[in-house]
Amino acid sequence: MKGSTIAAVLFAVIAAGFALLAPVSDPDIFWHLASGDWMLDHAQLLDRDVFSFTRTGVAYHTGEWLGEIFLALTFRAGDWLALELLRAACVGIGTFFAARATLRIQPHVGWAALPILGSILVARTVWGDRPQLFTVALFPIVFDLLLGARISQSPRRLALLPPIFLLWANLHAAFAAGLVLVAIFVIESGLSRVRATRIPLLVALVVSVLVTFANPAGAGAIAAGFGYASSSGAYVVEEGPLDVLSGAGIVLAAILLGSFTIALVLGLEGITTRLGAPLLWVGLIVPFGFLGFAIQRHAILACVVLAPFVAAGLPAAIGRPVRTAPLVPRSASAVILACCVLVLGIAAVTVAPRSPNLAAYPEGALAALAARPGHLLNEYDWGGFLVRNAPEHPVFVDGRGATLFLPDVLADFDKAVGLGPGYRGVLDRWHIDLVLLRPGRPLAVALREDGWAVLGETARWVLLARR
Amino acid sequence: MRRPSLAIPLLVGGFFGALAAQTAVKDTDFFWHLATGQQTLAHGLARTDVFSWTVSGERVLTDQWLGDVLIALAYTVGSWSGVIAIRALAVAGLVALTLGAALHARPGRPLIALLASLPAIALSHYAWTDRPELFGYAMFAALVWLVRLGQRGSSLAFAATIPLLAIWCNLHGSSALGVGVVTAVCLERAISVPSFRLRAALLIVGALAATLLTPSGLGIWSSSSGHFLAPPRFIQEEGVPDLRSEPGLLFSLTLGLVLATALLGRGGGLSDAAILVPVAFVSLTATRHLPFFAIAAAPFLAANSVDALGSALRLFGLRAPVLASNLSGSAPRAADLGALIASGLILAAGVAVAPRAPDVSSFPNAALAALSPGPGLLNRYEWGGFLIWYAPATPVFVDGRLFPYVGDTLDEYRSVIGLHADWREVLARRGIRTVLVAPSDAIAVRAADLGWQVLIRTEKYVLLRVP
Repeated sequence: MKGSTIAAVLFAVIAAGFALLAPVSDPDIFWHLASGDWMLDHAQLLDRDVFSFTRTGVAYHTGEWLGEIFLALTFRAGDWLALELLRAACVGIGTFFAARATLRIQPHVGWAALPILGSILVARTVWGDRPQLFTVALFPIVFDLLLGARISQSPRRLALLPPIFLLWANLHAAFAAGLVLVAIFVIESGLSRVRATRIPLLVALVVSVLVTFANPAGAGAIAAGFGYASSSGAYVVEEGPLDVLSGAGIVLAAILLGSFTIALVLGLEGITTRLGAPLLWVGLIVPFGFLGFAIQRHAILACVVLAPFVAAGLPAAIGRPVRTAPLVPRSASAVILACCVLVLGIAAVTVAPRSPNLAAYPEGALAALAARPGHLLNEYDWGGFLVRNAPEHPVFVDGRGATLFLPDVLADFDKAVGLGPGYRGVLDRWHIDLVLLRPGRPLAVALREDGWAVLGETARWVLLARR
Repeated sequence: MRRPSLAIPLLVGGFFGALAAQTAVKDTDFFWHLATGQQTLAHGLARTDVFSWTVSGERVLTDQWLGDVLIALAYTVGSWSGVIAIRALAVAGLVALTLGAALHARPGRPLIALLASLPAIALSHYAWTDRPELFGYAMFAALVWLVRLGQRGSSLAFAATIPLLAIWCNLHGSSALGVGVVTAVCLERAISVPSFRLRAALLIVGALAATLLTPSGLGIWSSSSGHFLAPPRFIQEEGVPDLRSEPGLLFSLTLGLVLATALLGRGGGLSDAAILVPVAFVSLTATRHLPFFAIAAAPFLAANSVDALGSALRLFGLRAPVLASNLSGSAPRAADLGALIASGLILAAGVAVAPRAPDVSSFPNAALAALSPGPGLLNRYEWGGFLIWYAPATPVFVDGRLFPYVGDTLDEYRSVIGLHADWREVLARRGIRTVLVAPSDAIAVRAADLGWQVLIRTEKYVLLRVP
């Protein structure tokens, strides 16, 4: 077995091991689970809202129905630990293929390790338990397939792309980023007149696009994917721009600006000699560098794409020779792989948390809430938690924000909790009887002063009821 | 070395300067800069606050004193037209210096130089306002030209960066970037040219020493580092750059062009990397820093983009036109002098037809008459400068100088305006008697609930008496 493959496995084990350590805490997991459960219980697609009282019956598509069913089945199979194992599996698969793609261009593990470990650090920001995990796994698979086909000029493996996209289009909306990736390879192959791959790549792209229509939203899924990417991120933090002074931002900046420095030093000739396919790197680095900084949840996609360039370009820029991957005997490979499985198994049994971390949620309010009927105005971030844990109270808003609640419900939410002009009209129009907010919200302060009853409170939440 | 023609940069600079003059004075921070400058001219440099009642007598930053004085002098000489004239002059200088550096990098090809400078012109136009920040951009453009000349072997140009930095440090805190660029360029040159090491060390020490020639002394570093390393994100221009916004897209286009040019270029560009890489990082830290990269990139794009385009065309199998630099002939000084005069005339014409009065439509102009003299007013942050200038008898609660207020005062301001739990305590503790805020602010809405007396109300502001 190639040493680079063994190294990719080791990187994957490191990433998966880290992914196992964190308890479930993502605010969106709860409504994804509830959606999956609903579909399993009713044996039909959930295409209309059943969780809120502000959008009841309104049609919507998250583009993630299969991902939600997968999450729900996983939970049913093994509770919270099963979700953590699924997370670790997706992270491990994604890391393996990202590392393998990097090691295709830079077989020297030491040089490759730098951007791969950087990518793992950036990826940690998107290890939340939601269908996005499937993109974390599938994007590197597609990238590795494409890179392998382009380098070896053997197009047979491209046949795997359509089934992957068929699955991906039903798991998570970010499959559009994968199609962009394929399109870049198609364009480069055409412009560079690579005979072996130019037609197969084009066919793979066309078929992949066509199979993505096989989802409940049809052709609209692609448009939704691109539309989602162009949304402002005003409500969803991870859809906003990446702060270069944050941990993930510094790592991505180092990788992007490292690529820039390498390009300045090597130039076209140096890149052609050491990495090959110069137009391909132009096509990959520019758009994915932009995507990574424009939308922070996609920073990991940029890292995956840029890592091979940095890994191979950095030693070239400082004049180090090209290395080839050593071969590891089968027996040694088997021992290493067995050790990896063992380490992950021990980690799952001993250190993986068995219950979710609910510290950020108003868990203590559930009992008081259950005893009091009425329409509830809740914090945006707590909507999913309430969907799952307080089903008797349909929510005002939840994490399906951009898909379901824009523009008027979220505008009403902002107006009410921020005590904007007309906030009383919002409370009256929606017949709000209960308010569950952070205590510092202007609405919570005003309603307390106006004599609403305090049904419960901590430093994190306050539950108020109209008298 | 052939002396480049300055005629085109001067004329283009004059044109954009005249264009910049067509907007009325309206910047929210301008008025406190003007008041500070006038205070300095009348009574000497004030090291403690004289404009607010919340931090009165406490230390204030003096890192922009010369910029403030220049603005005040312009106002003293020519009233609002004087302010517009100095803005036009600064923009003309910024554009001429950027274009001049680009033309120097691609002699005899003014169209290419102009195209390479367009991103800088487009991105900087958002900052064509009446603040010392604009002087900072012009100084940066001058520094880029000088270090580029230095990299080509001009010791005089390198030496000239020291006095430039000494002036810049007194104009605006962005001088820290200049020191960083000089240091990076010197280090790169010291590595590439061993005989340059002593000069590099002297230049770095000189650059650092120049920053101390200010009334702030070492304090200038705390201000600059505060802005660069921990930008106050709640201020719009200090926010994370959104690459999907208009300026963000312009920046992305510039970065994409520069990256593509580097990837398809000649290589060996460590000297380019010494300038462009650190500036790219700084530009990514905050929206207000975006223009720096475009300014720094103009000479690089002018020198390399056409060749990179040719390389790309050859990769496509197409013939690329050869477009060598036009080095024939010498630039007549008479032409430059004529261009200088013509540029001055264009600027003068632009200022002559510029608005004669400030645009105060976004400020609480009609509330001025209703303001009580003495302390007790809580005003919106962005109106503080306006009140300092137009209502000097009513000291402000907070204003755009920001740093004197960071801590208790800013927290108290947020508590009241955002109706936090302790808002009543703050009102009582501070003895706030009137509140001048936007009608949509939570405190204004709450005041309406509570029946506070409205002294004046428009669509944009409301002045309330605290009972």
